[in-house]
Amino acid sequence: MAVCIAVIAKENYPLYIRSTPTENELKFHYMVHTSLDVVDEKISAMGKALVDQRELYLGLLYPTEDYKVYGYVTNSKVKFVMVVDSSNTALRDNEIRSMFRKLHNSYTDVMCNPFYNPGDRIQSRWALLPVSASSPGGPYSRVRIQSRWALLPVSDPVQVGPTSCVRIQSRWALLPVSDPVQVGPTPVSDPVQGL
Amino acid sequence: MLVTLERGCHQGDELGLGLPSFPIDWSSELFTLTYGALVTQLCKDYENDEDVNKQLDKMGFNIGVRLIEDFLARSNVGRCHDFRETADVIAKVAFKMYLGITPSITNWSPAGDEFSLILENNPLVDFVELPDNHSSLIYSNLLCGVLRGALEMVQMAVEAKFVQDTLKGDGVTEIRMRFIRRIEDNLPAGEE
Repeated sequence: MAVCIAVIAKENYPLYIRSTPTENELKFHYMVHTSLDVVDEKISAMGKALVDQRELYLGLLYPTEDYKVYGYVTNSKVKFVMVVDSSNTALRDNEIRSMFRKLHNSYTDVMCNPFYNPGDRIQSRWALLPVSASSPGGPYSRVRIQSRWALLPVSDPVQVGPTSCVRIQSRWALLPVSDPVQVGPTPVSDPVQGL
Repeated sequence: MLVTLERGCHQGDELGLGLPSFPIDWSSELFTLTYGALVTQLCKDYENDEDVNKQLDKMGFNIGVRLIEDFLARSNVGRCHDFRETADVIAKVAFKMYLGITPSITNWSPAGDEFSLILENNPLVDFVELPDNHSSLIYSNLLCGVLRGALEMVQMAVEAKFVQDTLKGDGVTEIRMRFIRRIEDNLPAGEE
């Protein structure tokens, strides 16, 4: 069972990130971000011949003490990154491959939506994948979810002091769209440039 | 668009008109994507869902008045004697021929002048998700225009509208067709 799944665009910004609601989603976002370097390394090492499906799947990118990170890149340089729990030893390579294949299929379905502009954040109500499904083969059926906000909001507000208001330009900013971040007694008047 | 695609292949021409006598297998995905591109372009051009709906209806009407000739030539159905027969022909022959689906006919009004076409799946809306800023857009409104245009060419004035739409969260897509009157004059009521 995957704990976090991310779809990264060609220009290395996230199109869709979803993790199981744990206390620290920030960690997964950082993990995905750092895995992009490994992905780039693997792509350049493989050379230009990326026609076979086998070469789309990059395999294990790097293991940490609790998690393993797997990668997959499409021919249009869109990357899928998946973080799984290390304790889940039942997950084999084949299952990871089939999960990525299903993810790829769901991604192409989202692309076919005429109202979706390629390069936009994926806010599809047809979830690309509910990560909380119990079986590894199961999660990628298209399930209608209620939340359209793919990045679950960071639970603790960022403490930066009462008067500072940081305009975060990075597309990796982890803030909910609707409510401005409360950074102290003075509420932020500028909506932060989130993803 | 549909007619020109089909004229490309000549297979089994019983009528001797140079027309194919059964539907040619063409890429339905290309059709769905083309229709999607058409609707999104209209949305960008008109900015207002109601205008887009009207425009789709008008375009559908223009398609319908031409499509009816192709339909009558290929399907060889005779004149319908009442509205029920018309409904059957629309659902079982026309939809099957052009979209590959067979909607069911339900909800006849007591007077027999209104019925519903229930489409379990609508090939026009594969992969489509309506964004929130287009909540009043009737995505498949072209179909209503086609039905209206085609029936007007056979001297029937009807009204077609969507009452349920899978894009808006309903389980099925339902088109309500209402017979208004028989057109007695022979002048074609073209709407350009």
